[in-house]
Amino acid sequence: MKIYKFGKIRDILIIAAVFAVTLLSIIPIGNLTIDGSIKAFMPDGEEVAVTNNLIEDEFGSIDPILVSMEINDETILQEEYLTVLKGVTSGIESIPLVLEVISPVNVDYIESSDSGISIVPLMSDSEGDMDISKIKDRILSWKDTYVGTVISRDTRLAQIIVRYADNISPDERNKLFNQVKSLVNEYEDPRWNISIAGRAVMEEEVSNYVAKDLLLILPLVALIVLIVFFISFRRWEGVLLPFIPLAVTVAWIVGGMAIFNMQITLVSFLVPILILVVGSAYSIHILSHFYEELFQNKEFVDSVEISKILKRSIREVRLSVILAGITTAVGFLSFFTSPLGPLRVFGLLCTIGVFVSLLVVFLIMPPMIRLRFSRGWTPSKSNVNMEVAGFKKGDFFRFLKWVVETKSGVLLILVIIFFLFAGFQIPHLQTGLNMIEAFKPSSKVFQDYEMMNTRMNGTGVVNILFESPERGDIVDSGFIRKIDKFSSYIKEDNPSVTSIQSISQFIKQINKVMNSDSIPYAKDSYEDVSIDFFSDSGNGFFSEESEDDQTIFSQEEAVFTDENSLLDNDGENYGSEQGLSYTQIAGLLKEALLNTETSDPSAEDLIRGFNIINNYAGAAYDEIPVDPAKYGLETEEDLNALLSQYLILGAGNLEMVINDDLEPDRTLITIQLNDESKETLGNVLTHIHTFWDREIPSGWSYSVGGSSTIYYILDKHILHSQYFSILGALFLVWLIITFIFRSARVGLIGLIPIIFSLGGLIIAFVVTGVKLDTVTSLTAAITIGVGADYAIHVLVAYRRLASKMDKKDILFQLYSTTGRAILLNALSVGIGFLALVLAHLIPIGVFGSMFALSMGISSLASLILIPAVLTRLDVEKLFKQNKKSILDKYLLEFRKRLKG
Amino acid sequence: MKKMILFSIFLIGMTELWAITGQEIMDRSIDIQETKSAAMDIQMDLVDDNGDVSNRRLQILSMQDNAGQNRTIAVFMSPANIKNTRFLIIENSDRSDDQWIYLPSLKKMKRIAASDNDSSFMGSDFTYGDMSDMKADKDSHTLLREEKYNGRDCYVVESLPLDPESASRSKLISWIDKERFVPIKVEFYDKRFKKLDRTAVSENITLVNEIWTPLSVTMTTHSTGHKTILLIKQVKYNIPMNPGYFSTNFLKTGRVSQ
Repeated sequence: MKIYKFGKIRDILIIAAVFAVTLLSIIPIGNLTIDGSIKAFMPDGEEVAVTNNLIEDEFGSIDPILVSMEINDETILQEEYLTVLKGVTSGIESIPLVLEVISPVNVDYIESSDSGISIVPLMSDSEGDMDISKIKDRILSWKDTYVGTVISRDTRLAQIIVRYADNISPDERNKLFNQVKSLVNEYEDPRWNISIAGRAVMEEEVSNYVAKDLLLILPLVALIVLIVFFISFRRWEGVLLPFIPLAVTVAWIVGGMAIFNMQITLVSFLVPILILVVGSAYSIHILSHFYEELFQNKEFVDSVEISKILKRSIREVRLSVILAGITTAVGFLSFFTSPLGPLRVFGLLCTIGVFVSLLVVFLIMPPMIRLRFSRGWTPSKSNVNMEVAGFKKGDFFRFLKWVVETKSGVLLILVIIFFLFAGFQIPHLQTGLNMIEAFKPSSKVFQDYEMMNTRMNGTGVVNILFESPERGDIVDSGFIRKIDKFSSYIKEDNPSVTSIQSISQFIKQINKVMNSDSIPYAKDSYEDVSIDFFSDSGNGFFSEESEDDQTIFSQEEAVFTDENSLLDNDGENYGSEQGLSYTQIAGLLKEALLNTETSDPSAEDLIRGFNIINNYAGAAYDEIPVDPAKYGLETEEDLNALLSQYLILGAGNLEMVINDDLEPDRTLITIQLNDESKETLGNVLTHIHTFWDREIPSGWSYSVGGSSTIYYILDKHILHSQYFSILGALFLVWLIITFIFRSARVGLIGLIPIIFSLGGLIIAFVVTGVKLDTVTSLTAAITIGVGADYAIHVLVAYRRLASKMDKKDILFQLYSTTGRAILLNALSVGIGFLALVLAHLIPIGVFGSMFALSMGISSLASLILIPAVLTRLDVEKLFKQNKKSILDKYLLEFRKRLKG
Repeated sequence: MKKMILFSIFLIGMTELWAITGQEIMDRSIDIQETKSAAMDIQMDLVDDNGDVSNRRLQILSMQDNAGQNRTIAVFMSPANIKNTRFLIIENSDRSDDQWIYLPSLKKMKRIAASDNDSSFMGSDFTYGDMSDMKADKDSHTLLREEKYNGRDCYVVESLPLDPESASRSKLISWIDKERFVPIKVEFYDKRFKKLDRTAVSENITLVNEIWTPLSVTMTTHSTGHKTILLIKQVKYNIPMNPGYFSTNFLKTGRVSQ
């Protein structure tokens, strides 16, 4: 009795200790953060990741928040609407963490004016607000700069670009996003169609959905697991006893994630769900074996006897449960080969989860069962039949038996055809990481994204970062001309390229404005004077010449001495004649035609040609300076000096294209895309490399970054990762089965149903057109891990039955015992995963349904294909040398030593 | 340029002061900016977070006209590509400043009507915005404490903008040398983040034309580790100056008309 009491106290202490640890692990869970970004998947050493970090360091965040405001059926360029835009713009500007807001109402406009050049807000000038027609003229005069960037072509939609600090935490970004969202919501009006988009927003939405899905699906899966427990055992302790270890495991793993500051990603979010579903099998096994033993008693069983029954049950089931855990863990372990960090973390967490689940099940289930039955057990009618769930020994098993026994030849042919078919489908597997495809087309995020891609320049971004060996090398007219040439080249072959921002845009703009009153090839007669106020001669400020008696307190000298004469140049333009003859007009037309760069000029080209003749509004200088003589200069170096001087005018406004106002050694080209499909990105990247591999100046380097490039590179990684993890998992499973049965042949037989279910998955992916992405690509390796359980169970059962009955009786017995359990497990796991279809994010639902499908295929394939092969082999010879597996022998030896 | 000069002059000290309120300290400190004219030869060393240095050199003349408005001309001496690029800025009391630029490559002068911004001055850690607000009447000043900094007894004064909306920062904290009255350290707090953004430290404070002048000012941007060392190579105050230097004619030709 003392021993019993001691045992009871020990049981209570174990349970109390586990619960205490569980409570402690729950506390930090509130600190968990969610990172829905795709960037989180990019390996640190990957070139695009390195480039993006460099870009963010030098040029700021590459993923701005895009707020678009649209007025239905009329232009937004009306005072009333512009006032609203100003309100939103200044409201966003005042939000902490916002670095810069670019909006139609604050974006700069550069123009040549009567007195020089003006850099003023697009929508106002020095006298204040302007009339709408003038604003439209301004927009059209630099449409490449404004249309699609801050305003749509039809002027109904305005876009506000919100740039924020690049080093903010996911939490801060979430806060920022919500602040922008709530500010914009204040302007809700039926006339306005307001949306917030951009990759940062999309990733925030992913994080929000992950949080929502976790709160919805985890309880739902838990409920399904509870229902399965209830159906399996039909008693309250049959529901609670196996569920508690699962809940404890989930709490430990999730708590552990919080303690180690791990973020919940798009894949690690599945960890608690997987643990719940997969781990449920272990507790079911222990409890069902215990009940089987217990219910064989027809009379009262006291607590001491119950402890013995429990001990016996655990001993019997221990090996198969541990093996099941190991094979499942193998599937997860295979993710360790992935180059993608979050997948490795996912694999690690799931592997730990499986082992913790095993540990917790073996640690607290026995004490809980002993405590539950501490007063003994009295049989009742409700305990008689444990065969409550699953399939009765009926037609279905007879059908399977018939297929295996009589149609194994046909089956083999069908299986070969199936494998071949699946193999041919492999090249048709589609991969794709476009995050927007994770959202349902009916969702606002998806629709906003679509709008940005159809009405504006789009959300796709590819960056090219150039680095020159010396400071200031970037300001090279030859190189900047190449950028200009590249812009035309890539736009020509890629209709998805909507805009290209680079230093060449600014140089062209300023060149045009600065030379609006110039005459090409005209030479200025006077020599420029080199000034040094502190020198002892010439115009030295302290020289005798300057220190005359004209002190500052003497007469005032006019500031504007010869300004007017300069402005008179406008009147000297040689295209100002009037009353031209027909011949003169024809001559001008011909000249205009020659000025166009195309053999088939449009009316617009011709007008441009005309403007060039007269240098109207600087049209003759709408170029990157190429000919020194045209600018009154002599050498390329002189041209480069001119470009440097242009940069002074843009100083402070060129942070997004050059890394230094005067002597940049890095420059950034930003290519905007309205389509981020793999094909488009592949095409754009190929063009980039084809052009710049040829054109990059010697000693310079370039690298490609941008958020869209991440998609493309990750896409490749996912495919490689997929092959590695599948092959790794198959090899490990083969190794385990071979180890258990001490036969490589049995190892191969065990792989048949697994490969079959992989084939089924491939066909399903191809037929449904579902793409392999970060989430859906998890299916295969996990299928291998979980599916291997079924193969091992069938092989173990077949071996056991073969040793004690005739071959003809094996199948039916196999199906009615192991078969039933396998189908029941596949059903419960499948239903559990099917709950994922309720997730907001499409890949999660796809993962759940594909996994459920593979469980179905895997279980049936194990029950049909393995027996079909084994019936054709000499089973006795096959299993001859391994009636006791190495593991069995080891455990036996271990037990003996313990007793000894 | 004018703002640059204002900033530089702001860092100039004066002799003893018995004032004890923050407002009085800053008023007196700002008062010494009232030089009638100044000429400076400045070198800007831009030091990035890797320690790489690039230099810029410019010369600045400024004078006050009879109406008390500043006129400034600045000439870039280096780097070579922008040598002789010149700016002229005429301050107006009733409207925004007039600005002209002369590009030596084009031999052209253009008037610039630029919108104000808080952007970096020529890639340095100084901005136009934080230099323009250096007038004592734009902030309210509070003496926080008195303490030693770099071995000098200092007043520590907090300056909060009276019009936070238009200001380019949320506050300044200045360490004013009690004896010379030179600000020897100024902390700039970001407008949006309200965090310490940049710090300016004055060194090598020398008496020039009876005005204590820091010949070296280091401005560090904490978020990037980037810093700008502003070295005053030569400086003169309150000297006779020909107004011809502050004309578009001089800007364009480099010569003072006789």
